[in-house]
Amino acid sequence: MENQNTTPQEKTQKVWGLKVHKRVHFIGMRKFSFLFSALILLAGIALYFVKGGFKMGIDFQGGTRVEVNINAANVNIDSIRQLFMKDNFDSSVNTVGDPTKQHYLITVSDLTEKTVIAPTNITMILEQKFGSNTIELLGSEEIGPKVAENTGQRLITLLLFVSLLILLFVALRFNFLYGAGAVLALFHDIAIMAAFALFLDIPIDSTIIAAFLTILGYSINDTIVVFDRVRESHKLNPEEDYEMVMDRSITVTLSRTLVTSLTTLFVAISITIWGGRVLSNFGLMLCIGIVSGTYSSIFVASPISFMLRNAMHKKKPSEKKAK
Amino acid sequence: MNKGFRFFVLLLFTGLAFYFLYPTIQWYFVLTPEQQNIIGLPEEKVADLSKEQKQQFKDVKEIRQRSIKLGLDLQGGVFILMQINEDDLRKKLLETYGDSNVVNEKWEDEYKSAVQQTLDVLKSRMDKFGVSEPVIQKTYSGQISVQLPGLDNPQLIRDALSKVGKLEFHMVDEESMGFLMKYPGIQMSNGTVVSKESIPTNFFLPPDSAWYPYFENDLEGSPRLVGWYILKTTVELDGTYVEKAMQGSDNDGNPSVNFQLSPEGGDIFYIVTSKNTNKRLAIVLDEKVKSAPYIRAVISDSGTITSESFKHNPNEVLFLINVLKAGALPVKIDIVQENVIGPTLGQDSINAGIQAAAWGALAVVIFMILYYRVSGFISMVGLVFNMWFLMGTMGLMGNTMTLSGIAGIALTVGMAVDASVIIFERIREEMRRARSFKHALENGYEMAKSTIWDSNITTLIASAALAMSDVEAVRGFGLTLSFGIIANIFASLYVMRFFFDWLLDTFKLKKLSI
Repeated sequence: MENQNTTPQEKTQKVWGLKVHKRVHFIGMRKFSFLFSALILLAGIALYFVKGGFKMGIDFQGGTRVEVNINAANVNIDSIRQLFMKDNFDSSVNTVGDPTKQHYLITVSDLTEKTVIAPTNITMILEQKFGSNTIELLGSEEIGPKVAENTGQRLITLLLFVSLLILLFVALRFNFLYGAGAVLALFHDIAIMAAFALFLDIPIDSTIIAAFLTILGYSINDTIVVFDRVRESHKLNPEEDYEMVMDRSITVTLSRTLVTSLTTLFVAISITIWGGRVLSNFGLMLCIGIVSGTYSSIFVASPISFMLRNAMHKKKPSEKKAK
Repeated sequence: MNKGFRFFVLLLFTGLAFYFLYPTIQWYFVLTPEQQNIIGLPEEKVADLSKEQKQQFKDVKEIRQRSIKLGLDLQGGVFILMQINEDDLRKKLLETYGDSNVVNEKWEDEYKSAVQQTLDVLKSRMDKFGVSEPVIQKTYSGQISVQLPGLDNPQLIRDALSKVGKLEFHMVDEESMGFLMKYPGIQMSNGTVVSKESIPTNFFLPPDSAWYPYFENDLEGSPRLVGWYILKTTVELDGTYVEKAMQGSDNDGNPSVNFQLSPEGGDIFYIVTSKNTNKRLAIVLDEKVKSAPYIRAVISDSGTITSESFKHNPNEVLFLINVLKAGALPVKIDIVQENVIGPTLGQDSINAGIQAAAWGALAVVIFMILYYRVSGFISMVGLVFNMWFLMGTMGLMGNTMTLSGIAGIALTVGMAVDASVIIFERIREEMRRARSFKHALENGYEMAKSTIWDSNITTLIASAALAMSDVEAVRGFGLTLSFGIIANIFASLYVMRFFFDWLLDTFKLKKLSI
């Protein structure tokens, strides 16, 4: 096969003709894949109502976070949790790093009053319980409810704005159907990430939104690799059945899709493991987004574009032929 | 393109990146902590240094300005976000205008000027924070953010916000100043001595006089040392006697500053002004001269200050009014966000960031070399150049490196490898039908190019939007990722291709493992 003396143009055509019969019926599987996605998303919605909404970070609801070392015997995380269990408080206590080091992250939001609890108040409460001079304040963060409101709004606007830009770009480079498929796949990924955030009790803060935005920009890459290929082979052979073109494009780019996701996943995993208290949730969300993005570029983006195309062209759906 | 030329371009960019990174390398790896600390000196102290020390101060400051800085989350410090208290401002405006419609009409302008004045006051008190590199700036949404690296107690800022400055009035030592003015070789500007260095050795300061620095606001509203006054050390009057200061206009309709003193203050001032007509009275706030108008008439309890500069710059009027109110803030300020990052936490974060990036990179390197062999190695060389260009761009833009920035770098690694994989897989595919490896390389690159552009540009769209956010953590991530993607396009399409061709040609290879 290596010594065909043809121009690249002819050669590619020939190869399309004779070589690549490899084809997995990805588009034909859309019923199952849509069902699968729908199940996860439904589970997410159910969780949303069971848990009464997302857990919010202090960036978004205001509040105070302190990071302390407690140098006292018999400190356990539950005893600290009890200290901040009050009706109008939304609080969480987590250990940081090695649990025996007594290094805690305490977050408290006062839900009723529009004021912020000062970090010193929190250390005072701790000192009453564990004795004076046992608390070492390593760092603190105090966010007023007003800023919190603005931050949330701004980031959500940003999320929508970026989606719109991506839709425009893909529509411009390919066509609107691809753009719609790609952006719906992106929303799918964000929704899956949000569902997992609910499931894992990860508070939504600005780093989580940053993870959403990153996946927005990143997970579309796999989709574009597929679409690029679909466009390329469709141009070479416009008569060919569209479902076949899509299936084959996904198939030939499959190793690319998987390897690129895998390498980025390496990085995301190491951010999760070693990123420390600030970045580990971010890394975890990236991992989920990357996996979901890979899945959606194969099982969501192309099938949606395909269905939209069928609906537009009023063609008979070629499901039967696919078998 | 000819190979020599391509090599030259690569060398040029590498060199440029080095040039932009050089100050960063100097700052973090060459300078000792003592040498670094010199930039923390306040300007009036620098004037007393020797010539060599002054030069050193300038050099180090220049290096610092051009080096990549560490964000507060990495080096530790205090971050405070504050906002004008709208209710208080409205109340004050109602007192001034007496009509809520007028207040609504002027609201936006008044709000802006209140923010500006607060910013001015904070900037003029910067040196009190005892921090070498405070950053005080307006955010997009009209809030004021203050960053004090290396500090762990936000109380200082709260004090600076609540306390008023020390306001004093001194007579200018006209005799000494007059002597210096006539002396050849001494540079004077606006009646002040520009530099103390040119003072002749036979000039002796009278025992009841002292040098006082004179500060003027630069275009960014930061106070800059512009000259020196010799003032009598006797305090003629202090700020407690000043009852009111407000904007007025002189006989020609130009803006002026009107002030009113308490009755006792008026009595003292009457004596001072009648003794010193046509001499200058310096208004000194926190040991710094803010203004030194001539006494033109005998004044008791109310006076007017006029100046040529008021005509061109209404901010000057507001500034002086604030000074006379002893630097008091124009309105109440609310602190809406406060972060304290202790030094140990900063170090933890640096370690976390480096570990995350290093382990991630290591996993990627091992995978790529195992999976693509020599080509994988070329991809890693491309990655090294990518990082180098990324850091160079950060140096050029004078960016701050934050923890989220490091995450951006980590994702750049992911993106860079993506680009390699897209190219390599395409080359593998082309190898099945091309007659030679070179051909496959050629075709593979040609076909992968549009994919690389498309995928990187979509990611760039998202990251550029992140870079414009005013949420600090999000912005840092977006910025590094944006630069990383640009570096990535260059590294994967240009640098790696160069190394492929170079290896094939230099060693007369038919094929590279891929």
